[in-house]
Amino acid sequence: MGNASSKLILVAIALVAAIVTASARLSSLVSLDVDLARSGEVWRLFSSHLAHITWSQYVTDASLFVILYEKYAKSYGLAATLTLITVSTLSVSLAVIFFGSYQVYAGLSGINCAAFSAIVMTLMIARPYWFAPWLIATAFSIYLFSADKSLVSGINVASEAHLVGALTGGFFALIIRPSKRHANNDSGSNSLNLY
Amino acid sequence: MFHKNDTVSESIIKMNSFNSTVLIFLVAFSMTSLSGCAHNDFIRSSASLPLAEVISNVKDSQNITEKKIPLTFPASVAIIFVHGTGSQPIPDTTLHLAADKLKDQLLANPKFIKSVSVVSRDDLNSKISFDRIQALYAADIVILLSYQQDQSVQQTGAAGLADLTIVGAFLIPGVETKTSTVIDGKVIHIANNAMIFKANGSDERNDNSSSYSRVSTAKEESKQGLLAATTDLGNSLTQTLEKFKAYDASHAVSMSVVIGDNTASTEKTIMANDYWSRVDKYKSTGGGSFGFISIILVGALCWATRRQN
Repeated sequence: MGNASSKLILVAIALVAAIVTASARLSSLVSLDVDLARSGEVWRLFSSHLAHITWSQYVTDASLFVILYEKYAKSYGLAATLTLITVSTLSVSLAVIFFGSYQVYAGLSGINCAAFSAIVMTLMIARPYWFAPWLIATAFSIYLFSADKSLVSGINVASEAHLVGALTGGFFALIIRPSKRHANNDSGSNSLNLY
Repeated sequence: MFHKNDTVSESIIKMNSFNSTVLIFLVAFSMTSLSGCAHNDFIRSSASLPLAEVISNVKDSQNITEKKIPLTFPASVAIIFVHGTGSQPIPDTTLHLAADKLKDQLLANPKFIKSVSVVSRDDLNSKISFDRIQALYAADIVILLSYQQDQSVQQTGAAGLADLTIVGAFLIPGVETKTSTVIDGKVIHIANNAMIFKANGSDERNDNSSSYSRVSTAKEESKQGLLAATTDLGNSLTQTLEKFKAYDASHAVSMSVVIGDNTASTEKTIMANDYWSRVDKYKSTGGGSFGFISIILVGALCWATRRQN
């Protein structure tokens, strides 16, 4: 499957997120309510990222999700992209449960942070003496730690979700190499190249 | 992802040494950020359940005004501290401790108060009537206490920097916890099924703690705030006990008015607990920023990847 398939899957995920966001009942069913997840509703660990609290949060998160993961898929292929989405989904949800201060979590922003840091890390590894990725990484770190981001798109931001998402993406970039075909923007193999 | 002029072997050596550096950087970063994960600013709000959820439907005392029964002293009192709602209500043990504190204050006035009992939490699991309280606790008067407590935990940017070190997160008291508590007390004469007196107690306090101990500090402040507000209420209640002697039953307020319409109140509570219905309502109103910083960052990243290619 090529880049077109990747884009199609990513857009499909964003559309599913739109449907969930439009329905209060679906949002309630899939969102990460910490108490309900702890009581055994395990699917919330994976599904919560499809729900959004406000439409402006959805617009930002879904568009950045498609852009970032499409970029990531170009270098790493579809299999690696879906693996990163799955792993970061789980790590972000666990961070919210164990370190979070909010009762309910929803949104794609945590897993977006994973893709962002994975792409930046890939650039840093590929061209270590190029200042631009380092500058972007620094700005991203400041963004993650800054206090004035606490209200974005009309909702409180769960910083721990972003931090753990970013760390997941960073570690992912270190253990998985982009396949040469995908690095050259060719369609073809979707294999993961582990160190 | 390599320069065209580099040989494959040179690239692998270069990448391996660089990866080690990045790995060390990442481990250090994760160690500092793990301590940072826990210090979000947050606001916690907790309040007692509405009275209509705790006290069962009462007969209207306004309809039996001609049969007003005089209040006799010393009286037996039962204290009900209405338990909380929300994700982090004040623990029942703390409410019981606060009720015990009020009990001690009331018992210091033997001229007016014969005995005081605290209604147990088990008796409040389902709605309880005043008749049942009278039967169980032999009480002439019921004091209904309900609380509202708000807590905000904030960290300044400068103090946040200290958390970048593990020592700073454990030792530097850079997190400020503000706690405001208001207690509302209603004194009810069971025989007349009417409210004869109303009192309030309040407390406001600030405390600083390290990032590590902020949760325990917030819990302790919550407990101390509630106890102090109850003491404040107890003081104003005992100061006005003399007025009870001249209590005129015809001026008492019907409990139906105090508790309010039962059905409407229950519907309101169901609405308040339906988080996503409120969220959905908010969605339709729109508003909020679009997270421009993240959009700018992604724009910069897209530019960098394009340059790289």
